Amino acid sequence: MANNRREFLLLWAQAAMAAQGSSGGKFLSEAERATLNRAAAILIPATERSGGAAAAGVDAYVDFVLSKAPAKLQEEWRAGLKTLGAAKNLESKIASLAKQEFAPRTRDDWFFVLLKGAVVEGFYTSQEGIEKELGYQGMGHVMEFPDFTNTVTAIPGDYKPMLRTRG
Amino acid sequence: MKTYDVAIIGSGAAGGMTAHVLTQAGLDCAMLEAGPMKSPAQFPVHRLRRWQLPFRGLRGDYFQEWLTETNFLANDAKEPYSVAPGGEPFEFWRVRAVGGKSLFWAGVTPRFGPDEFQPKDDFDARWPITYGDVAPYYDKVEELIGVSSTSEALGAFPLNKGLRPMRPKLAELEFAKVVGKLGRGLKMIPIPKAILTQDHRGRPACHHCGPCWQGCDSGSKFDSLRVFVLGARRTGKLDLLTGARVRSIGVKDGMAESVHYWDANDRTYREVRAKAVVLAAGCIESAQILLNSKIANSSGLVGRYLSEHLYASVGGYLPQLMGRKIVNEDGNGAHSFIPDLTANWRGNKFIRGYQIFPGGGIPETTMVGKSLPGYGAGWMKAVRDYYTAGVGVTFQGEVLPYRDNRIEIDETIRDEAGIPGVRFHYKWRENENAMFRDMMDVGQEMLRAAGAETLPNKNPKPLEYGHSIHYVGTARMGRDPKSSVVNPWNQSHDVKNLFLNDGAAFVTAGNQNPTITILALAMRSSERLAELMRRQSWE
Repeated sequence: MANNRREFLLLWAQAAMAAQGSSGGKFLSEAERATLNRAAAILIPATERSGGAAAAGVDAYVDFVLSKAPAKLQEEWRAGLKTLGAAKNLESKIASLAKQEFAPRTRDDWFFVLLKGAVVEGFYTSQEGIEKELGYQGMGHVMEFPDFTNTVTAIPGDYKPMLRTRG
Repeated sequence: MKTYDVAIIGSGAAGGMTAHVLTQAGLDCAMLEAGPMKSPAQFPVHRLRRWQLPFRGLRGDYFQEWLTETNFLANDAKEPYSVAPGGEPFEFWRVRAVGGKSLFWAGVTPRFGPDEFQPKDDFDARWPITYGDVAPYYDKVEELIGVSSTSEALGAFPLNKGLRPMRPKLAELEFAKVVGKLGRGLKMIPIPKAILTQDHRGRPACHHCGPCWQGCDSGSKFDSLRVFVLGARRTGKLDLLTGARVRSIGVKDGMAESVHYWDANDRTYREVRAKAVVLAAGCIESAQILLNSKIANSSGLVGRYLSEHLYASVGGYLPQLMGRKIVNEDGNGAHSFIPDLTANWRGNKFIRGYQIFPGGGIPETTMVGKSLPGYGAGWMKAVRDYYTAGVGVTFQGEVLPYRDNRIEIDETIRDEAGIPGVRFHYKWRENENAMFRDMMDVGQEMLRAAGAETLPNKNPKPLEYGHSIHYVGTARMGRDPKSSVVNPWNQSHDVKNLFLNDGAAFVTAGNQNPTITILALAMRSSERLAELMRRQSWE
């Protein structure tokens, strides 16, 4: 089971890139998009820095990739969004799924992994995510590159390793 | 019909240099380029941001979607190629525009050292020329195109003749603190690059906007279009034929006399007549043209000894770079690197060497959120902390030249003009595998020494065949016509008025980026060609 579900992560990453120029989209229904947007706004809420996933149009990105994805991945998303849409309390459903994020077992657990990965991609590649949330300053003209040779670097006092991976 | 002095096939680094030298010598040239002429204003840089791309630049190679969306790449469906049964995929990058791949290269220009021309091991052949033969041309090329570089000479790694170096990036300084302590004799130095740190020959200094591989809008990075082709045209001695996809070279009485091409503008076959022909289409397509022409191949070696570079990388996050102020740290890619310092640290597990690019910066985006548990505002703060701390160590190693690594013509696949495509036979062997394992060890050691937080790397793999885009070989240079395709002047043994000025003539791939060596050899052979035409002798 786990190995089958893991395959969906690969299929997502490999969704076919059109040979030249791209058109697509309109895979998800309005109801599915609404569920996706509600879930995305819980994962990446608006903060004082940015408007979060809702302002970034994450749903359009996810919809586009899914429109280029194999049918079995599309079905996995349909089923996953249906489950989330039926949850009485979406916040507590997501909170419980997130506990198994790095040790997923059930189909729902694995869908959360897919969902979060897609939302991370959609948000952190959007103008909202890059320019507001991350505050990227690049792509501009800098006549003198900054001189870092005397910059002191130190590990922040509250640092603790957080990186995780799935088995 | 007009007969040109020279027909030059290809407009990239090699073709551009050839046109520059030959038009300066007063020769009448035609240049055939398969793609159109495009303005630098059409480059993706500053014009197409990540969020405007349907797949957000997350699929395929790091610049594939930018160049695909702006129509700079050959369309693989219209110009197909194949891989031999049972073979792994080979990335075959073909830029279709005047300037070729030089428009989108990263600009890294380490010279080959004496040991690349004359390897100290007994594997296969050595070049018929030495570092000393090429050094004066390296000097001239570097002055012409403008190379910023180190002021230190290190071991067998030759000094570039350059402009002042770029300042190191913060992550590079963190690696520089520790590489000397690894006991392998590694040393980080400013990277030599064909990117200007001061105004040079009418081109402005780099403004550090970031993605050189999306095309340089200011012309601060060398590309063939602005440094060679436009200037060569202004002499009135160069006719530029765009949309000209070459099928074959016509030979009569052992001498090349014409170039047959498909004109994409009106989908018609045409020909150009010339007293000499220079192939500079990139080594794979140059070999394809020779094989389709059935010429210059008495050795049977055209298409063989295809090589490129082994690429691999490891990554992590340096906690000492977390939570820092966000500044514009794009620069122009890597500002420092570790040259191959030869036998003092490689041991005896494999022969030849590799370069190391350790670095990091504050990038356009990060996917680290997938590897950090949780969600919501607290998790977003953690993403920002890791965002400024990402580092990587990338390796570029020599792939040995193997006779059976080759391209051949695949008669079953044809492009829209009916030109037969190429089939790749390509495989890395034990030396490359051993080198890759060593790269992984060194990479982990460097990350550990720098204090990086990493994820376990359980099943490390090199990047795909062809990923380096540093294709060389396919028409190797030598003195003996039985064991080489061109002579030490890039001149065909069989067809004396035919020259191969691109990476095809390379005998070894070295571990260095090939372009500066392609430019130096193209300058050298073009001067020779001009001299032969003056003397009206092909010997």
